[in-house]
Amino acid sequence: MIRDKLSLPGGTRLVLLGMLLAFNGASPATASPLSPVGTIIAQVNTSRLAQNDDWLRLVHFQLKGNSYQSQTDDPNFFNAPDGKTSPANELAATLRAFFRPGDDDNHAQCRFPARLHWLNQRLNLHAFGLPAIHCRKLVQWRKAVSATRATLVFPAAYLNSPSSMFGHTLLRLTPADSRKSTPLASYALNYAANVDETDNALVYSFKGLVGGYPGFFSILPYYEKIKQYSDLESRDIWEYPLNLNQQEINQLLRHAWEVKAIKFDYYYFTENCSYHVLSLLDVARPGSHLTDDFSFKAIPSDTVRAVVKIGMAKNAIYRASSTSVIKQHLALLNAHEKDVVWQLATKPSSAFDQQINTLRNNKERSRVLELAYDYSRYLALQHTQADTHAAQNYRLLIARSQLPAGNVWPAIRRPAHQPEQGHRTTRLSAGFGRRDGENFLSLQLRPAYHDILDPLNGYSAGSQINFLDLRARYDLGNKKLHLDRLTIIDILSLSPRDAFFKPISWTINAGIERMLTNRGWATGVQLNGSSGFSYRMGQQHLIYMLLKGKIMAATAFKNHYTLGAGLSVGSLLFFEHSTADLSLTGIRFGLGETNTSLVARWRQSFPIGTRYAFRYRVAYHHERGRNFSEVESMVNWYF
Amino acid sequence: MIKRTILAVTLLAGSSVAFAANDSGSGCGAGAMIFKGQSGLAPHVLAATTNGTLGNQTFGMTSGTSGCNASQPISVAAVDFIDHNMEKVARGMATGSGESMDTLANLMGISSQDSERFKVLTHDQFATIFTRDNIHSNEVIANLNNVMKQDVILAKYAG
Repeated sequence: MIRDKLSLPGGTRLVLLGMLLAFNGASPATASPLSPVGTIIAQVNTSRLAQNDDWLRLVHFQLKGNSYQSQTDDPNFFNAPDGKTSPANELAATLRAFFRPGDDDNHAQCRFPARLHWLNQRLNLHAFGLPAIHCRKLVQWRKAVSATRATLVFPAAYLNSPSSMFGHTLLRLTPADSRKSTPLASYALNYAANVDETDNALVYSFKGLVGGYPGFFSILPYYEKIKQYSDLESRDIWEYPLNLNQQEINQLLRHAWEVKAIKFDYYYFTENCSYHVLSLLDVARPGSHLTDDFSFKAIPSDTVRAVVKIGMAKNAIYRASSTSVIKQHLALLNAHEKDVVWQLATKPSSAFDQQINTLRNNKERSRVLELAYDYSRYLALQHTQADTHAAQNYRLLIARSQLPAGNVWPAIRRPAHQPEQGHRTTRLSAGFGRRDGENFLSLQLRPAYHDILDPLNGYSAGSQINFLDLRARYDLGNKKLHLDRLTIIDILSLSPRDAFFKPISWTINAGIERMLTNRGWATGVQLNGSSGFSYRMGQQHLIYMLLKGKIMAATAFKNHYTLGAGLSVGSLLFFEHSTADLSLTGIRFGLGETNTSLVARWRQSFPIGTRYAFRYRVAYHHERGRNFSEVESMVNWYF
Repeated sequence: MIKRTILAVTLLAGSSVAFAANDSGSGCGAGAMIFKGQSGLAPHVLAATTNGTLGNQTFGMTSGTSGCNASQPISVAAVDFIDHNMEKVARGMATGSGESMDTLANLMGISSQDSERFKVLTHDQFATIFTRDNIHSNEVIANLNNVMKQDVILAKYAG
C-alpha cells in the first residue's frame, strides 16, 4: 500500500516540498555548514534519502493521507522532536546524534544500530569522522543471541483463547554456537501485548481492538514456547525455515535491539504479533514489502502465506502438539493396550506388574508405559488430575528404563496441507435464493476467517470463526435492498470426545439480523451460545449435541425481546469432494414474546480449487406459528 | 565441569535476584523438582490465554539458552535446560530417545558419534540418575555427572 502511494508523483512532490521547507528552516541553527554532519546532511537533502523505502521502514513510517506517521508510539524511538511525523527531520537528527561525542550505552549509535548500519552503507559515515562508541550492552547482547538461522513459527489457531483465535506467529533464532543449535535450545523472538491482568474478557477484547495495550518484543527460550503452545494449549506448530542470509539476520537483530523496549500500541487485528514479525523481516531484507498488504487486518496464516509467496520460506516442519502425538500413538494400540494405558495413567493403585505382564512383548510394553506417562502428564497439565501421581509417573519411567532403549514409534503423520496452502481468509459470496415465498439475490462479505463448510485444507476440521460477516439481500418481488445480517462474531468449536479426551464443544454468535416476529419480519439484535458434546463416527463423520440459549431484541417483539433455550443436534460430514452439515434446532422462547421455533437445515459446500467454492442450503422453519422454507445457492470467492 | 557449573549456578542464583522475575518459572539456575509442575504452572496457564504476555517482558536472555548471562560456559545452558524440562528429560532418559535427549547431548557438547552412547548410558542408569519421584534437578545433574565420569568414553564430558 505504501509502495503504491509513493509511486503517485503529485502527492509525493507536495510532501517532499513541505519537508524540505521545514528542514531548511531548522538545519542552519543546529549544524554548521562546515561540520562533517552538515556536509552529510546537505548530501542527504539532495539525495532524498529520507524518502527511501528502507529508511521509512526502519522508523516504521506509514503514509497517512499526504503525510507520514510512524507506527511507534514511544518518544524514545525518535531523535527529532517531530520524528514521528517527519522522515527527513528524523534522519537529520539521527545523523547529528550519531556524530555527537560521548561513550556510553545511551549513545544513539548504541540505541539505533540498524539505522547506523544502513546509513553507514549509504553515506560511509566513517569517512566523515564518525566517533567510535563502545556499546558494551549491545555487544554483550549480540554475543548472547548471535543467530545464524531464522525460522518463522506458526502455532495454529486456538479457539479457546481470544488473543490466539486466528493463530500466532513468532521468530525462532538459531544461535551460532553449535551446541545451542537444536530447536529446543534456540530462542524465540516474540511480539505480544502487555495486557492488564485485572481486565475482564470484555474490556480485554475492546482494548485489544482499539490499541489499548502496549505491545513489546521479548526473547524467551524456545522450549518455553513449546511448553505453552504444544503442551498446555494443544496447538500444532508449523516451523518455516527462512532463507535469510547472515547479513540479513544481523540487520534483523540490530533492528530487534532498536525496538526492544519501544512501545507500539497493540492492535488485535492490524498492528499485532504477525504484523510486527513482518516488519522485522521487511527491515532484514529490504524490498520485501511484506507489511504492505496488511494495513487492514493481519491474520497470522495470511502473513505466513505472504512470506512463502515472496520466496522467503517454503517447506514447513510440522511439530505436532503433545495431544496430537498422544492421539496418533493411541490409534496404533489395540483395545486391550489402550485399557492398560488408561489403568496405569489414572489408577495408580492398580496392580502394576500384573497389568504390564498382560502385554505380549517389550515393544508393546514400552509403548503402553510411554503413553501412560504422556497421558498422565497431559491430565496433570490440564488440571484434570490432581498432582498425586508423582510416584506412579516415576514407576512408569523406571519400568520403561528397564526395557530396551530406543524409539518404539513410527514417525508422526503430518497433515496433507500446510496452513498457507489453505484458502485465503477474506470471502465474498454472491447467491440466489428463495425465502418464505420471496426470491432474492444476496451478497456477502466476510473479512475473516474460516467456517466449517469452507475448504478444509490447511484448517482444522470442526472449527469456525466468522468475524464481521456482512450479508445484504435484494428482494426481487418488492425490489427492496436490506441488511440481512451483520455477524459481529460467530465461533464454533466442535472438539470430538473419546475415551481419553473430553473437550467441551461450544458456540457463540452475536450480531444484527432479520428476524421473524409475530408482527412479521424485522431487524434486531441477537445473541446466542451453546455448549455440549461432539463425537467422531469414523474418519469422515462428526456428530454434535449442544444445549442452546438465545436472546433476540427488536422493537417489533412484544416487550421488545424474546429469550429462549433449546437443543441443537447435527452431523458434519466430510466427503471426498465436499463438506456437509445437517442440523436440527429447537428452541422454546419462554420470556418476552413467547414462541417455539424448529429449524431443520442441510448445507453442503464444494471447493473449486483453493480460491472458489460452491455451496447451497436448504432449510425448513417453523417459527412464530408459521411454516416456511428457505433455499439458497451461492458462489464463494476467497481472496 | 558440571560440578563447577553447579557452583557457578549456585553463586549466580544468589547474585541474580533481579533476573529471577521472569515468566519462565524458577529463574536462573534456581533448580526445580520433578512432577512439581502444578504450582509453577499457574502463571503459565494464565500466560497461555494471552499469548504468553502477562507479567514482565524479557528481552535479555535472563534464563534458558544463555544461562544467567552471555559469558557463562555452555554447560550452564545444559543445567538450565534440565531445570526447566525435568519431566521431558526424565522421559528422554527412560526411553533412551527423543528430542530432549538430542538437545541435552548437544548442549553438553557431546559429539554426534558419542550421543547414542550418552542416550543408552542414561537409559541404563536411569534409576541411578533419577533416584526418587521428588528429586531436585541439582541432584539429577550431580548424579548424571557421576554416571558419566564412570564411562570410559563419556567421562571427558563430565566434570
